[in-house]
Amino acid sequence: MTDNDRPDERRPDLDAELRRLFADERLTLPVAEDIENAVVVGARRRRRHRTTVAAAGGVLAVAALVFVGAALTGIGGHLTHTVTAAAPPSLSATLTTAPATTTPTVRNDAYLLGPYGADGLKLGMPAGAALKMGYSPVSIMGSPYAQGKCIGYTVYPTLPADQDGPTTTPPVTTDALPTKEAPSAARSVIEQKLAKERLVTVLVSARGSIVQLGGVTGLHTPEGIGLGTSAKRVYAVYAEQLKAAGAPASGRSVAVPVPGNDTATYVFYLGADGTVTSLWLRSDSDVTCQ
Amino acid sequence: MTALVPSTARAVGGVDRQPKPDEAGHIEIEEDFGEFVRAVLPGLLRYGHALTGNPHDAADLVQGVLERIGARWSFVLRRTGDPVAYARRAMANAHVSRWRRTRRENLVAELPDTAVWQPDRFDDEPLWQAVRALPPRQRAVMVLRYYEDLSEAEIASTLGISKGTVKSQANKAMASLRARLGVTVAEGREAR
Repeated sequence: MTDNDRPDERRPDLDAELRRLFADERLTLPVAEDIENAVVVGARRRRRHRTTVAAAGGVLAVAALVFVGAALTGIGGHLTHTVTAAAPPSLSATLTTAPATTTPTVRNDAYLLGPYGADGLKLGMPAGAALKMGYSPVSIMGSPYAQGKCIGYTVYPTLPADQDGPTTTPPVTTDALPTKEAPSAARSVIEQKLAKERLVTVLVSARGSIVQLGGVTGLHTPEGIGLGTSAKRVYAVYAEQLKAAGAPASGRSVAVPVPGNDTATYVFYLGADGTVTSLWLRSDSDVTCQ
Repeated sequence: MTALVPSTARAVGGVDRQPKPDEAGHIEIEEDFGEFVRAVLPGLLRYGHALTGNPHDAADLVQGVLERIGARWSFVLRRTGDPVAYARRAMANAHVSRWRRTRRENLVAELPDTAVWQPDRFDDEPLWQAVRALPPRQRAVMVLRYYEDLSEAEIASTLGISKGTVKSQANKAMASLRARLGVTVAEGREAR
């Protein structure tokens, strides 16, 4: 209302007070140890996402080729009896086992969020068990935080489980988690940084069990939804589940019943640009954080 | 069946862990950027704290802006003489526009915080409380003026608003601050 007609009544004292305030040492914040890595990894993700979007058509074509190639390899392998899987050569068996026989996709098991957990972490598991399995709590922001009655921790595997590829095919056993065998010093800087893309934030209930996990993480759902996925794609991929749940298809977050797990929900938060900015696997059966 | 295809697409395009040939060049750039982050983080967090009014949003803001800068690090280095100044301007803008786009509950939902977050060490500072209570754009103007010592014209170009708007926002901000501090300041130091 009085946009321009109010004379500037600044008094020297308030000016000086403001300068003093902004020079105050208490404005300084402690820098969390791992934030630098988180930033570098986040920047890489953004850069790749940009590149990926630019080359989306090409990638899809390559993906289709790899997919077909993998399927063919699987079928061929079965026919020559060299494949270890004893599954009958039905179409579905071929499709599910074939990717597991190729090196690049095996590695990605560790990047899956859902249907029951992520890597070795599972919904409902006691938080202490996660630590025993080799997950270290790091905090990007400096300390654990609370949400309602839950405490949130950001954790990551101390060593990536899948650095050597196929040996870690079973995705959710303790064997897949860090052991002392792999000398961490031998790993390249980039590997160490990449490992942290698997940062997972877990929310732990007052009872001490994991009730939600995910966050801003390099993980993706088995259906291929991860950071940067468009809302449109989320709605398309989970159309069936959303329809069954009668969930409204709008808003800043999308809650989707998890395919293959009746007691959990995916929650995808959407940024202003309509892409996923964080993703969570939330337990429906355990106590909530309220 | 078709659901498997996007999954594979992501595996190929996104999270393959083998550094690709074209990735090799990026390793050096990333290390350089990492150095930059290490050097500027304390200052930017402090600045973010002033801008946003709380540690959590500050960290969030700094992280977001730095990631965007890092994603195009060589470009930023080439095109801006001073990446720190660039980062600060980007933060001021991101703060104002993010607030406009998304509401607070959204940020909280995404990265839950609140209750057990570090106690705010400014709680006993009336002026800080008053500054925090300002709307984001007014606060940004205050920070750019008193923290960054920018002129009205510089503030205007940083935030992409007119000089008149800078002036009016500053006036409103000062009026709110005075009103909020009325009791403590007017009866104390500012009593004529």
